[in-house]
Amino acid sequence: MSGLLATSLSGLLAAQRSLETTQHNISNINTVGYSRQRVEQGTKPAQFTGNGYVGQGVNVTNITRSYDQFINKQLSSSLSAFGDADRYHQLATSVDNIMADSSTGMAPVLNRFFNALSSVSSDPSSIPSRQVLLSEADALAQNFNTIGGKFEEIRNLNNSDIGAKVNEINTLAAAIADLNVKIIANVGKTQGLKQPNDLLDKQDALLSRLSEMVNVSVVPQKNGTSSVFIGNGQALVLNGGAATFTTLESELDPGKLEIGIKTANGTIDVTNQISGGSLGGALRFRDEVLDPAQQKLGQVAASLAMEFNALHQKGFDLNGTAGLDLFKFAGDEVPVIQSSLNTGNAAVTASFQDVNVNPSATANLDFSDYKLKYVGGTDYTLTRTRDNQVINLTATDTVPATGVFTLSFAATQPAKTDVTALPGIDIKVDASGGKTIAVGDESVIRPTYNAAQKIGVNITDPKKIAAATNIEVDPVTKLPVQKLAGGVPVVDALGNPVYVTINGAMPGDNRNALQLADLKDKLSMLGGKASFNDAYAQIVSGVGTLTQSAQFSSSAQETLLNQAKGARESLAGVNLDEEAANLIKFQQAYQASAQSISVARSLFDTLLGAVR
Amino acid sequence: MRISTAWAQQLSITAMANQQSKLANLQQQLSTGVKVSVPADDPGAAARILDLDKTITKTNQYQSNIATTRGRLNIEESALATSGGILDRARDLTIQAMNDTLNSNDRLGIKTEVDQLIQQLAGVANTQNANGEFIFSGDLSNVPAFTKNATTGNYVYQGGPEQRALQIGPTRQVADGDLGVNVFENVKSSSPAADENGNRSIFNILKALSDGLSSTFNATPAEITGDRFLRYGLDYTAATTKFDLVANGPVTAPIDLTGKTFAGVDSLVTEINTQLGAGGFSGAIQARSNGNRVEFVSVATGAASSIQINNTSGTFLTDAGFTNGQNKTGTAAQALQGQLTDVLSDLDAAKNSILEARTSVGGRLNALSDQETQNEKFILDTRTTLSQTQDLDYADAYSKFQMQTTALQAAQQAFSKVKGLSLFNYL
Repeated sequence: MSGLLATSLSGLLAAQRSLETTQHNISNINTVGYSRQRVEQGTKPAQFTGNGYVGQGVNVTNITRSYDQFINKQLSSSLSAFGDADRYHQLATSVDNIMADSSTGMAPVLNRFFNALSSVSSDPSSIPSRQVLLSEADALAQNFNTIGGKFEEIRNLNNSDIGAKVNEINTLAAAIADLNVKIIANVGKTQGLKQPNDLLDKQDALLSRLSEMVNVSVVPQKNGTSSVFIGNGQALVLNGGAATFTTLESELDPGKLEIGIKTANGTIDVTNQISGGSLGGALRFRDEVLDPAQQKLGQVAASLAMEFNALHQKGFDLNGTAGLDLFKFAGDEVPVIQSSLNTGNAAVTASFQDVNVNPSATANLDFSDYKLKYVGGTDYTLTRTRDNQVINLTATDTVPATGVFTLSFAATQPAKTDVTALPGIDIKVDASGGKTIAVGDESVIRPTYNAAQKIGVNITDPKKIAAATNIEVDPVTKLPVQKLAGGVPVVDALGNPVYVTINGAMPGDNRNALQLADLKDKLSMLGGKASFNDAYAQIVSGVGTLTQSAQFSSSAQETLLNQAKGARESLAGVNLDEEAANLIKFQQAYQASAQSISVARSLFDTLLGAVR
Repeated sequence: MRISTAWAQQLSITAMANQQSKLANLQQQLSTGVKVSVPADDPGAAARILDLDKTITKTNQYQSNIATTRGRLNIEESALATSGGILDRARDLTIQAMNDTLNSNDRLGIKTEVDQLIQQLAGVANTQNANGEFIFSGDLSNVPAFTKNATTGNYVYQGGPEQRALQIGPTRQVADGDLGVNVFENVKSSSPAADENGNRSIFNILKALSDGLSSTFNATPAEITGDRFLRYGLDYTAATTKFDLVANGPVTAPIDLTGKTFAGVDSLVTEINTQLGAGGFSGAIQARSNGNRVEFVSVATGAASSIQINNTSGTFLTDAGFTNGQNKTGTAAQALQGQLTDVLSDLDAAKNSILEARTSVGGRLNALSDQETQNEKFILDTRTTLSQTQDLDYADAYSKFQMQTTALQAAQQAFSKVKGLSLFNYL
């Protein structure tokens, strides 16, 4: 009889637990990372009687959450992949928008500049048309500055974003380590038999957020905790301890942030191990989109200045004096950063080559920084940082010796090199006056990195535009008169004839302006295969292609992520209809158990009535 | 398969957001009329658009160069037409003057008109364009093409040595004028008054007519002219420079320019004339400037004379454009009829020279029109390509827009319907 009551009571209690859990599920329908929970019931041990084993009711054995390790792993890897693709896409779009804007893009300004040149060639003596040319040259330089500045702005934003991400990763890692401690305690309380479901859900949610930032591998431990590693086994969270990430500024490239991890033995650079997640996307964007675009824009600016300056110098202005440089660069023409670890103190300087001396200087100019290293003797190596191509250089002192060495392309070069000359720059090492250079000393030479930001117009007086060539033409043969010295034709450094020039103002002469205007179509860039416009269009289409493919991969990753989320939701998500049905089911079970208590009571009453 | 309630909602919302972003994209395309708004929309097309834009602006610039050139050639054309009229009148006057029945007073009357014609022609030859450039001065466009030489009283070319050309097509350049020296000075002449290259200046022809009418019959002097443009002078401060001028055979005048520097052709000529005067040669030889070049003249009043230049040391001959031993013999003075007959035939040659120039200008104007038509066609073709590359197909975009709107509406309706379904409604 008492068994009847106890059995009913156990049913009542089990139904109550189930109703509570259902209620918990319904309440947490919108909780991020929540996994629906189920009450697991089992029969109580039966009582042996002479008649056999009599059931003793129901027991709540456990409360479990719906969880699948495989689905969770897939979700976190999808989160990393999407975080990477999405961040990359967002950042690439910002560069893409700059290139596209018809009011700020380079192409319209370049066109206007060349049209102004053409106008000067048809009206060389007109001060207004010369003034227009100067204004357009100014607009061109400013446009380069603006776009270069926007690139720099994006770089700075990206850098501070990387810093913020690193902080967030540190916070998440610390929170995960904290939870690990709590989980160990909770699991310990039940001798490892029961799981603290809600804490584990929280842990999973934190790991998901971490996966959005960076690709991590999570190793579940026996004590219920999760250890987190990045890259090839660098521990981020181990039991209750979390490592700290930090940003490092590269000494030879101040604008470039690296990621380090603090250890007992100092900070280790782990930039190469970071992949996936929005941090990985930000790093990938910098290396694949921003750096090349900024360097290539600088390449166009530098090439334009080199070609125009060389030709402009060959001409004569309205006053009959030889032309000056048309464009200039603020500060050092080619910046050089010398490593602070250098033991020598020789000064390294670099400048753009003169196209009048090296006609293929602009063709050889590359969109990369270069690392110069002294290897001993007269030997230096120049490493193209964008692909680590090594160029051997030989130092030659001036005659008589001054200690200022000019570096030239060495006779022997590494195998399989595509470089046949210096990359459009001249490099000098000044070891004069007791200055020294030590083996292993390094400097970084940056010809194109911020050339776009630094370009400016050198001339302010419209009369100083060299539209004339002043080359004398023979009245009978109509050919330029070649300069003779002692009856022998004079030739320049390239072996081209030097012509007799008129040493005074020729205001109607437009021959140099025509040649300057022709630079528009001259295939001077990218190994002599592209004009300035072509080179710029290549940047635009390059950035466009990268952005487009980022868009595709971002939406593909989004689909995959949604599939993974769907799979998880399908398993662990709360369905209200299901919970409503459960509610009815458990309510009925509760009612039935209650009813059997009432039956037990009436049985008791019957028995008592019989005795009365 | 079980679906969680929150996820079902999330899916519908994501689907609607996608529809909306597609709709927004279409709306942007419809409102801008451009299908490639950022390079990522179509990277290849974006680069092509830049290239096509460049081609169009460049060709438009050629068109404006054509307009400039046409304006200048029209001014030259009318100047040449006026010059032709002046030469016709001069020819009439010459024929009238050849009439033996005229007395010297009658001829002086004609001379007055001829002198007027000379001035008028000089005015035409110094025509300026809208920018104030002398159209016959070539690349020295700030200097009048012809000025009167103070000693000889003759109009001499002062302009530049080169005519500029304008770019009117990718590979086509057209001269926007003609050098005064070619139009007015280099008239092919077979008369004894022609220079060493067989040319005679129109101003020289008219001056001979004017002189003849006032009964001045000078021998034609022998002249040799250097080829080099010396407007901006020579510098011999550090070079030994000597040469000899030989007149009429026996007279040899040594000239020494060593250690001297000259700012221009005029100071050079003055120095040579000073040395000639000091040596007592000024009666036989004179230096003068002609078209910013040095010219040596043997002076003789009646008889024929000759002149020769020989180098002694230094580079003056090369610098000034003479050859060593270059020489020329003049002719003796003529009587009135002879002089006027030469004038008459040379005036015909001058008329031809002007006509040739007009023909050439006309040819260039035609070339401009041809090129203009070609450029126009090219711009139109390029614009068509550009439009195909970047412009939106409205019909297509609008039908897509309609479809997208319908799809979004359907998604919204489905969402509200599905959200209403819940088992809790029946509890």
